[in-house]
Amino acid sequence: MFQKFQTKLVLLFALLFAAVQGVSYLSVQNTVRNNIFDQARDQLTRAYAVFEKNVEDTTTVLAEGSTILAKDFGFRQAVATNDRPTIMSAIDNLSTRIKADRVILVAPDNKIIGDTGTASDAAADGNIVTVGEANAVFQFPEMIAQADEEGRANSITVMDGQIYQTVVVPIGAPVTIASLVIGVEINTIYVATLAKKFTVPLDITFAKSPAEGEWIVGTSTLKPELAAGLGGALRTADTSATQVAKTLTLGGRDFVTLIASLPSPSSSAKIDAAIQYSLDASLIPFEPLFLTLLGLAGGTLLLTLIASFFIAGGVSKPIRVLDAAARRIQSGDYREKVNIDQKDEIGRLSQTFNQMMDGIAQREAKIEYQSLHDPSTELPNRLAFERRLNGAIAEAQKSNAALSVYLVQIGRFSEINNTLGHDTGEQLVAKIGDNLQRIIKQSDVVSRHSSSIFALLLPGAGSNQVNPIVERILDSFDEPLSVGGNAIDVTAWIGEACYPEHGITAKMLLQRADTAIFEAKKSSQHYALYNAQLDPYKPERLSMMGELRSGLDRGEFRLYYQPKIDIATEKITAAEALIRWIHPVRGFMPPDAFIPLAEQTGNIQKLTSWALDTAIAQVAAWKAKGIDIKVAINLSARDLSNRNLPHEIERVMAKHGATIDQLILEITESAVMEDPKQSMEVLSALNKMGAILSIDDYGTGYSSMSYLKSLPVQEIKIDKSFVMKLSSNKGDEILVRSTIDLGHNLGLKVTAEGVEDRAGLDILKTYGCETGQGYHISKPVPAADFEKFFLTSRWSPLPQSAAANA
Amino acid sequence: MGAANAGTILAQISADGGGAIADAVVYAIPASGPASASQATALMAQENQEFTPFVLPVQVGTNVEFPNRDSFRHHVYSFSAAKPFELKLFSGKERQVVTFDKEGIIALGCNIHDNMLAYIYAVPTPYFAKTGDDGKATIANLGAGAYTLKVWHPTKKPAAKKLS
Repeated sequence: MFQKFQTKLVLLFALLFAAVQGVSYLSVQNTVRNNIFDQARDQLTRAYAVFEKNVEDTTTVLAEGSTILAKDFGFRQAVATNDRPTIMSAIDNLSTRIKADRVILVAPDNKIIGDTGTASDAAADGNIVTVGEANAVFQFPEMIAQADEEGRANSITVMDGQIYQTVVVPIGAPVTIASLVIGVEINTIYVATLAKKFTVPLDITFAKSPAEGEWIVGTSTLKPELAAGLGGALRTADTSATQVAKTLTLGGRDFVTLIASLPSPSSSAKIDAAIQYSLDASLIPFEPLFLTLLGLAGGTLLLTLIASFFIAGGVSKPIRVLDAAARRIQSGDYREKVNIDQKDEIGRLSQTFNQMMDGIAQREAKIEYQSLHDPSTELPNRLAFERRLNGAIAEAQKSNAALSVYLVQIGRFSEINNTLGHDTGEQLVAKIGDNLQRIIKQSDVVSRHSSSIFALLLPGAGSNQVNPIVERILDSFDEPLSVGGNAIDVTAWIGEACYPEHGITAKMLLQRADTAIFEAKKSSQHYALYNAQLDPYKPERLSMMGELRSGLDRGEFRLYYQPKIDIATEKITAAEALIRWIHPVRGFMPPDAFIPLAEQTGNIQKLTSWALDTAIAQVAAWKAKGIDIKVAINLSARDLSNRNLPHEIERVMAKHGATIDQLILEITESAVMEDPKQSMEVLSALNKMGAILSIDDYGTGYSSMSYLKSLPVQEIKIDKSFVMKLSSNKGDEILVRSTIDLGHNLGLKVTAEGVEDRAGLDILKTYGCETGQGYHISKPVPAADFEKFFLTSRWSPLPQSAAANA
Repeated sequence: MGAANAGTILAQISADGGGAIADAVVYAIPASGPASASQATALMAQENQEFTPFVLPVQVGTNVEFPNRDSFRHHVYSFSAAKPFELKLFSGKERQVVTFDKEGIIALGCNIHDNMLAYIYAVPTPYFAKTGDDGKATIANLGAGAYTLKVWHPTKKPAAKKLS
């Protein structure tokens, strides 16, 4: 309810105004009351004097009248002679004359001789009551004594429950023979009469004032309900200071009160009088004034409310407008401007608001641009690309369209950065970005995906044909790129993944395109479309990796050995160890099914370690049996980047007591080319150790003769694809022959694998090829079979008798 | 009280506090029985608006004369049961005599002058005396025999007189 500024302001005004009005009203009322109180006090002081005088006058009247009787000779004679009829008639006469309500004749021994009784008694029988009780005693002997001493005593007494103003005079004959007690009842007539003597309307109350506690109200001019409260309001403790005006509240009304202490006999209840001035009654004449004041206050308050409502509205309206604008800014809407046509602070504030909105909008746009763009190339960044890709996927999903994601990786980028500096690297990337943008259509997206990778999003071209754009992109890298005065040769690979066949999310498509780059690097075309079969990250392949590791532990792997013969002597000189996996479920697994996978996932090292250990142990065992041959073990690219490999081989040899000359290490060209620098280091170390290094699968890669020359190898092994049809294919024959010649010219020995028949073997012999291997001699066999073959076959180097004996 | 010697009683009357009491009447009643009524006379004068003496002990039967020595009138009265009477007296002109023929205290007042107060104490014996200011009294001429000795004194003094 008080949320609104306008309401608050109106309320504040109203409260302030009401407070001021209230204070002034109360102050006027207070002043009036104070004046009246002062007046009342003066009036009461005057009234008190009147009261005292009245009591005294009454006493005087009573005393004088009774003294006259007490001195009357006849009366005294009547008393002295106990002439009762005379006594009673005299008393009756006296009470009538001085308007006494009660006359009592008391003997010197305080026994009551005669008593008119209370006024009501007298009214009842119209005559004097003669006290018949023998033992009736006057209650206040001290008054008798005082009267005897002083000729008169006067007090306010309570007799038979009635308050009396009482006078006692002695009857001397001449010694005191009796005392006359004369009382005027302090009844409602008494107080009313008394009250009439005051110049202002006052209330008077006679009450018992006991030593402690509340007063007991006797006679009062107050209304009974107010009089009843007076007893409680008056406590002796509070009224000890008499003649001091104080304010008492009776029935919600204030009375200025003065206490008059009256003489009482010590044996009687103490009687005091309260004279009161009603403040409220005195305020009655002022009521019209107060009503006028209240009316004025109410009227002006209403006017204030109306005025403040409009003023507050004027102030709060622009604030509401600004509030709404602030909410729009909060929700990111900066378009609608604040329109407050005012020349004051609020007008300026609204101008500032508008400028602020513009500023925020600009900064936000800038931040958004920066968050979605690569600063070097000004191309969209990975985040932006993924958004666009997601959007495109959503579109394609609706229209059943296809999409292609290409990742273009720049080769040697970190090398370029290291050599030419980061700035040059970034300029190069910017240039490549420009080129890419030029190549693709305006509607296609190119983004910088990571430092050396660009991502492209193109409409699907269908996975069975390569988009010509791929060609154009790769062509753009043919010429060196000129950056900062440097002509830089840049290689690039492109991996492609298609929606929906390779993935239906941006993340998956990008990952698959990345995997395709991996394949692209192996390809001479520098381009590959994602192939699920080759994807090492495909779930089933990943599970096979796990099985491969556990298979090693469980001994599911075997080494098979294929004999190598010296072609000249046709005797076995060595054996190539080939790995076999006898999978418990899948059965016999060919090396092609798990070797590339192991290479990609890093498990090849484990496999190599196992093969080294097993093969070296075997060759050592054979030598002990007199089977003195070399063993050839295949190393992968990963093995060549393992600096620790030479030490490991040394350790294994030492372990099994083998010598380095028993070992041939076969490596492929592509394995060396993957990390030539590192491979060279490892190969040099192995060469130093004395191991024979052989280039495997020679002829399948991009073998560069000059490069081959720089490798510390002793042997090349011609790929079986050239050898197998040697006897029937003329082309192969020339190729094999020239290769053998070339190897020999470089000082290398040559091994031919895939020797399938006798004719092939004979051709190789003619060409001077040193070593042969193939099914014509033997397929790869388990160690035990190999042992038997070595001892018994025609290729055995042992003398025939020894072989026959074995 | 003093010791009763043959022929004379010397009495010393004092209050509880030790002060001497004046105007106390001391009288001795012979065990042999009341004496015959007295024929004696006594005076209770009014002078300067006062009775004099304040206390007058008399034997029963004594005639007391009330001479008015003031220039104004007195109205002597008594409401005492022993001898109620009333004398309207004029100065020096009349001789008024009252015989107190009953034993008892007779309080005297003046109806005109409230302050005037005196006592006549009528005793049934010729042997009586009144203490002086020193509280001493002497009863002489006592015959031989047993006596009952009694004392009385008034408690109330006359009020201060008001002279106009």
